[in-house]
Formats: sequence, structure tokens, C-alpha cells
Amino acid sequence: MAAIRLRGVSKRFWISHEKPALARRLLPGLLGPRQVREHWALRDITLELDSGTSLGVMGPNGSGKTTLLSLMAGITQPTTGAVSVRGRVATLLSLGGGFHPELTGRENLFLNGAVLGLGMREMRRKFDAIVAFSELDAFMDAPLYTYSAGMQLRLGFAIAIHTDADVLLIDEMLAVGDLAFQQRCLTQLQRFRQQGRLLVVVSQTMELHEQLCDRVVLLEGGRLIADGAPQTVVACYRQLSQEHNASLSGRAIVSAPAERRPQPPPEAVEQEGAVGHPETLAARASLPRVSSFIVNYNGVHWLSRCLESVLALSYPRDRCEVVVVDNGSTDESQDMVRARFPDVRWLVNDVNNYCRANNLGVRQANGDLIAFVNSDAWLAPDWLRTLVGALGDDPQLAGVTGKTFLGKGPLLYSTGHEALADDYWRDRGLWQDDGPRYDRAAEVPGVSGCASLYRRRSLDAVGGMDEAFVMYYEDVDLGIRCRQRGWRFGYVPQAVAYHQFHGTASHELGQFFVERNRLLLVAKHAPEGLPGALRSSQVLLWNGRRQWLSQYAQDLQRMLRREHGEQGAELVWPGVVAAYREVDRPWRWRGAPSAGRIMAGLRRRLVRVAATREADGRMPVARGSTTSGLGWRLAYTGDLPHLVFERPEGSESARSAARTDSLRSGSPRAMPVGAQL
Amino acid sequence: MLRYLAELYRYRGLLFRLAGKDVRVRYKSALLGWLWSLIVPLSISAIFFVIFTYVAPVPKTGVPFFLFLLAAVFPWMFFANSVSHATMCVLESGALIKKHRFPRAVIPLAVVMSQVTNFCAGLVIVIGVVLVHGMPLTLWMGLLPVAVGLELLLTAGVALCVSLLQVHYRDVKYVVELSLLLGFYLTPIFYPVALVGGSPPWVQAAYLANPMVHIVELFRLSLLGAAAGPAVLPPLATAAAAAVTATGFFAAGISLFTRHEGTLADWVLG
Repeated sequence: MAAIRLRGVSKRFWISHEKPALARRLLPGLLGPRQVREHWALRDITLELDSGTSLGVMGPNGSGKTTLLSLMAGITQPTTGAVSVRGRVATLLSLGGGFHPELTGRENLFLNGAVLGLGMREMRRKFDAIVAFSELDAFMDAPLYTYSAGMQLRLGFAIAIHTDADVLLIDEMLAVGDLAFQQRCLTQLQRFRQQGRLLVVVSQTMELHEQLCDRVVLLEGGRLIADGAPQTVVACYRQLSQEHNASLSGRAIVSAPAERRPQPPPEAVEQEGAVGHPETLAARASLPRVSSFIVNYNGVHWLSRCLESVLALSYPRDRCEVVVVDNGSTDESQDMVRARFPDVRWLVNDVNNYCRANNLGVRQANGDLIAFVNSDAWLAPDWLRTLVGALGDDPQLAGVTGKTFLGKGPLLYSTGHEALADDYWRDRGLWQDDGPRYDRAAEVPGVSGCASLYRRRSLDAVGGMDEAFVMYYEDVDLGIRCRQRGWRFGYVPQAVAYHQFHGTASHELGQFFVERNRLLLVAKHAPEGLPGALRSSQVLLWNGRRQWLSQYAQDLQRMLRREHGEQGAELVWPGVVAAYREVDRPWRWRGAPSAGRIMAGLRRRLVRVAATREADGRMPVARGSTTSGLGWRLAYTGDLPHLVFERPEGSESARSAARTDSLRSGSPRAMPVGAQL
Repeated sequence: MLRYLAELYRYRGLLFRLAGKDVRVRYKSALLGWLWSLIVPLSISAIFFVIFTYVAPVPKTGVPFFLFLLAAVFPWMFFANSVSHATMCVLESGALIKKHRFPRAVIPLAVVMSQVTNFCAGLVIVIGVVLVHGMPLTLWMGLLPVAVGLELLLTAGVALCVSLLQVHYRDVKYVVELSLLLGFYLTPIFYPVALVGGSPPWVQAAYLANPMVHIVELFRLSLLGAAAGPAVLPPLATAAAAAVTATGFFAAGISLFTRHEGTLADWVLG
């Protein structure tokens, strides 16, 4: 049984320079709304910690370590997701937390004990042991402000370790204790774990993690980016820190030492390719033509690394065209590509739809093989050559993918697709250590669109990507449709690529589309399973996401009609409506009713009504589209869904965006569809 | 809500520790210790005695005016001090709230608790003065525990509400200051409540909506007996009104805390 379980936990803070005031609430018209900015301290953390483990938590400052501990301690609640903790929790989150400087050591001990939930009697019984461990008998009656940091640590640690807690949470502090005390702390903590209790330690001291922990997680920007044995994760953190400093000193972020040197001119690449892979001109001419597509939306930060790696591929440049399809970026992507990568073709898509952008590119491509590379991914030099070889060996294959690492590794991102329960799909190997299982070539049900090679013939045969998906799961759908026509997909471990997790798409956006497209996939291929898929939906159970229900209803309805006709859709729809009613159960009373809760209930009811109105006999119509309130919404042009990004009026980012837009008159968005620059 | 109260009871040790800490920290450096806190209400009573006897006389009742003042000033001072101290307490307890998990309502309740010692000492003084004056202690004295209990409940309730609101609206403290200032005049402290009886009905209704009116009346009745003067409401109705408002405030305070407990740590300072 897990002692602590976190499921999809995210935590949002509101940042504002102004203090909240009653006056503003009462006179909103006079003073205007308060300007707040959201900050996600944690994003989508899922963790299960068993008793008898000791978990280390690492990460740069501001990566969410302390927030994670606060959530585990029950000091604050997650914005979404659920935290469950079994047993008594003791915390040591700061020096002097729960101490008062003017009270004596003795008084503070009793106060701190009471804060930790110890009864008077229990406290008296343990008092001597605590004082003995802290070695502070001589100072017990001196006020706390005379204590040094080390002495405060002694007091705090002594009491925390003596609380008989099942879970102990410690945040960055052992470093101020002297050597002898640190050693005694270590011994105590090791014993604590051996007694089958759970220990969670946040620290920047790598040695501590290696000595004490059997599992370490690494946080960065609120996301869990590595989880594994201490040595592996510590190495990962070291690398992360080095790269951070390198990027500060003005160097480009690069992945492997081989790519660290400046970009050689094209001739040099050709020559180098000739040296590395001796081959005759005839052999080179027989290599198939490849078109690689990189879809970009405001991804200038990642795009240069991606293009650098694509241009450095050990594949003859004259056999491989590189195309960026832009979804209407408002950042400097276009200027950057024109200045630094003049050989790269630049296509403009009419709306912001990842699938449509890829289809647009494929229609104009001159290659027989199509490589899809995400703008936040980058490739090892032999990636393409290896995959082309694999695809050439087996005419049955529609597409192949290689070993894609998460960020710079060592954890995996994808080695092809894998079906999960309840119609969920995921990338095979995601978050896992690269093990022997992934060193064998294999057949997979589909390949991730983040870095994979397709045969153009198969793409044309199935009609390309389904634009209704917009983004996410479109590759799963592609896999299913190709397999229906007898094609297969392969995994080639020798082809290595890297992918930044959630590099360009935000967490919330991803969640919206993953859930939506999972349902669409069911509606498309097995509509009778749709009610069941709705009931087993993980996202809809979170209150904050119920607003999506109305939008999903519209999307599902369109998909059902398109794929199965009016009649087919009407066969399925009553079941869908029933499932909707069940999933979107009205709120339950807990405690006293409040205006806020009643309003929330009414709002939810309204969403439900909008989604299921006219359910009897006819198809319901979902009106309007869902705005997340966070700056994007899904809009339809005819039957084509696409993303629209909006910034809140009057915010700093909106103003600066308006400035850059006006500076760049004749912006790339004004270009006709498919225009080549 | 009951579960929350049970949780609070489990942390009663912390409540007393925190209250004790408040008392100790407050008087540790002051020379006269907590005697100071008794001098304030006593001197207020003295100055009012002089002003409202000689300068601007108010109608007197059947009891010595100084006693009449004392019996109301101590309950009022307890209420006002507790509430004004409690306003900022949750907001400023970041060091505790951000680092430990415990029922947050303990913090304002401890502030109220730390004022109780002064209050009890004040009541002893009033009773002492009553006896010194040679006035008989009446059967109404039996109401005293009821009065004390209701005042504690009301004070705790108001303290809970304002301390939590202050976290989310930083200008609540000005509202509290103003309300306490106005409340002092809108409570029958230096004048008999019977004076209000002559005003139009809506003024009377508004006046009686102030819960401290009933609490102060209960104290006068129990300490000084019926001689304290005619009341607007009969004793039972006064007690009932006090009980209803006090329970209401307390329930509102606890339910506010139940609801906001989980995210309080995100908003407090420190």
C-alpha cells in the first residue's frame, strides 16, 4: 500500500503586485479588475510512495520542491488532482518554523510538539530523549533568539524525529548542522526508513541523496523530469545545471558534444558524410528522396536546435528537403529561419492546426519518404539514414521510429505506441529507464509523430492525418488506419532522437486534446464504445475540466456524423447522452451551503444543459466554444477545427504583442496559404 | 463542521500553548506585566465617570455610576482587544501556517484565549468593587456564566471571521477599526440602554442588531441586578438574542475556516 499517492497533481498560484482588497470587490467598476498572473508551481505530478522508501527530491530553485512537500504535508491543497496520505506526518520544512524567538528552548519544544499534534503527556514522556538528542540541555532555558542556526536545527530535528510519525518530510537544512550531528541525523533517518516508514528529503546536497535515498525525483519548472535511482538522477541534474549555465553565458543549447561546434558550411557536411559513409555517386543517387516537416507555432526557442540537428543529418542534402510549416507564429521564428537557415523551405498554414499543417506539407513534398519532426525535438546524426535503411528493408512497413529520449535522456520518451486500458494510448517507454527491452527492434501499433519516418505511399493511401484531431493522437489514428490496410510499423533502436516534453504545447492544452482525441478516436473507430470511454475518462472527473464537456460534445457529434452518417450517429447518441449525465453528476452537498458553491453548481448545470439539450429524439447542439480562460479556444471554420490564441485584454503580454505586430506590417499571417518564402 | 470542531478539540494543546505564548511574549518585557492591561479599562472608566457626571451628565440609574461603567467596559474591552488583535493574526502567522499542518482556526482562537486572563481579572475587580460598595449580589448573578460563555462565543466567532477575511481582503483591518470605534458608541457603555427606547422603531431595530448590546446588558444584569435600570428587551429575550447572534457568528467563522483551510497557506505572509 502506498503511504503517499499523488495523482495528476498540479498547483497554481496567483501572482499580483497589488494586495487583494475588499474595496475592489465592492466597487469593481471604479477600480477595475485586479491584474493577476498565474504561476503553475507544479504540473501534473503523479507519484506513488510506499512505506519503507526514502525519496530524494532535487531541482533548481523555484522548481516546485517545497510546494511538493507542502502538498504531501497537507499544508496546502492541489489545484487539480488528488493527494492521499496514510498515517501521521511530521514536517521539518524550515529552521525555526513553529518556534518563537522570545520563548525559551523548553517552551518552544512544547509549542512545536503541540503544532506537530503531540499531546502534553506524550511530550513530557519524550522530553528528556529529545533534549538528549539535541545536546542542548545547557541552553534549554535561554530564549530562542540566542540560538545559532545549527542549534535551531538540532531542536527542530530532535523533535521531528521523536514524533513517531509514519511519514517524515524534510526540506533543505541538514547542511547547517555540524559534522557529528549530521552523521547522527543520517543514522536516525536510515533507521527511520528501516522501520518501514516513509521519508521524503529535499536537498541540494547530492551526497545526501546518494547516501540516504533509494529513489530520487528531479523537478524542473514544476514538472517531474526524472525519476529513478539516485546516481542516474543526480547525473541528470548535474547535466541540467551545466546546460543552464552554458545557456546563460550565451552559448546555444546543444545536446551532444558532436553538435557543439559551429555549423559547418554545406560542402563540409557533404565531405564529412562521404568520409563517414563511403559510397559511390550511384549508390547515393539510389537513396530515396526524403522530405522532412517541422510544424512550428511560436517555437523559436526550440526551432533552431531542431533545424541544426536536421541539417547535420548524415544524409545527402540533395536527397533531403527540409520544410518548416508555420501555423501563424507571432514570434521571431520566421526571421530566425530566414537569417540562419536560408536553405529551409518555409510554408504558411491558414489556420493553427498541426495535422492540417502536416498534410499541407505532404501535398507539396517532393520526397518518397516523409519525416515528421516536432519543433521541440532534435535528432542524432544517423537517425534518418538508419530509419531509411529499415524502411527500405521491408516493403510492408508504413512507418518506422527510433529511440526517442525525454529531453537529453537518460529516460525515454517514445519507442512507438502502446495501447493502455480504457482506450488510452501512450508512448511506449515514456518516463522509463532505457533497458534491454528497448534495445531490440520490434513491431509497434503506431509511431509517435514527434520524430518518425513514413512512407508517402501509405500516407497518400489513407488520406494523410485526420485534421479533426488538430494535434495529439493523430499519429495513433494514422497507425490504426494504416494497419487496417495491411501496413505495419517498426521500431529501430539504433535511430536516436530527443524530445522536450511539453516543450511547445502547454500542459493544459495537451490535456484538453489528449482527452478530446481519445474520445474522437473511439467515436471514429468503435463508436459503440463511446459511452464506456466517457465513463472511464480520467480528465472529466476533475472539477476544473468539466467546462470542456460542452466542447467535447460538439466535437464528438461532428465526428460521429462524419464517420457514420446521420443514422449511425443517432444510433450511438442516446448512450453518449446517458454517459454524459452520469459523468457530469451535479455537485453533492458537503458542509454548509455557500453562495460560491451554489453558483458553481449552477454553472456546471448550465454546461450540462448546453451539452445535452434536445437530447430526446434529436441530436443535441453544443453552442459556442469553450474558452479555457487561459488564452486559447477551439474554433471551427466549416468542419475544420483549429486553435485560436487570445491574450487577456490589457495584460502586459498583450500590449507587447500588439507592439511587435504593428512593427511587423505585412506579417507572415497575411501570406496566402501555402505561399513559399 | 462538526468534524472540524473535533479536530480543533484534538489540537486544544496547541491552542493553550499558543495563547500562553501570546501572554508571555506580550508581557515579558513590560515592567508592570499584565497589570497594565487592567489599568487601561480602569482609567477609561475613571475619565468617563468624570465627564459624564460633571461635564455632560447622562441620566443615572439606581447603581453607582462608576460600577455601571465598569460592568460594561471590561466586557467591551475584551471584545474589542480580541477582535483587533485577531484581525492580523492569521495573515501574519505565515511561519507557522506554511510549515505545519494543523487546524488554522487555532490561531485566532488562541488570540481570544490570551485575552481571557485579563477579562477574568477584570470581572473579579468588578465583583470586588460591588462588594466594597456594600451592594447585595442578587440571584441574577447566576446569569454571569451564561454572559461570559456567550461573550466568548461571539468574540471567537467575530475573530474567526475577520482574521480569515483579512487574508483575502487586506483592507478588512480598516473596516474592523472603524466598526470597533463606532461600536463603542453604539453599545450602552456610558449610557443606559433605556435611552434608546425613545427613538423611532427603525433606529431601535438597527441598534438592537448589534450583538454586543445584548451581551453588555447581560453583564449589567448579572453583576448589578435589576437596579442597573430598565431594559428595552426582557432578560430572557436579551439572552436569546445574544445566544443566536453569538452562535451565528461562531458557525460562520468555523464554516469559513472549513472552506478555506486547505489553501490558506498560499495567501498568508511570510
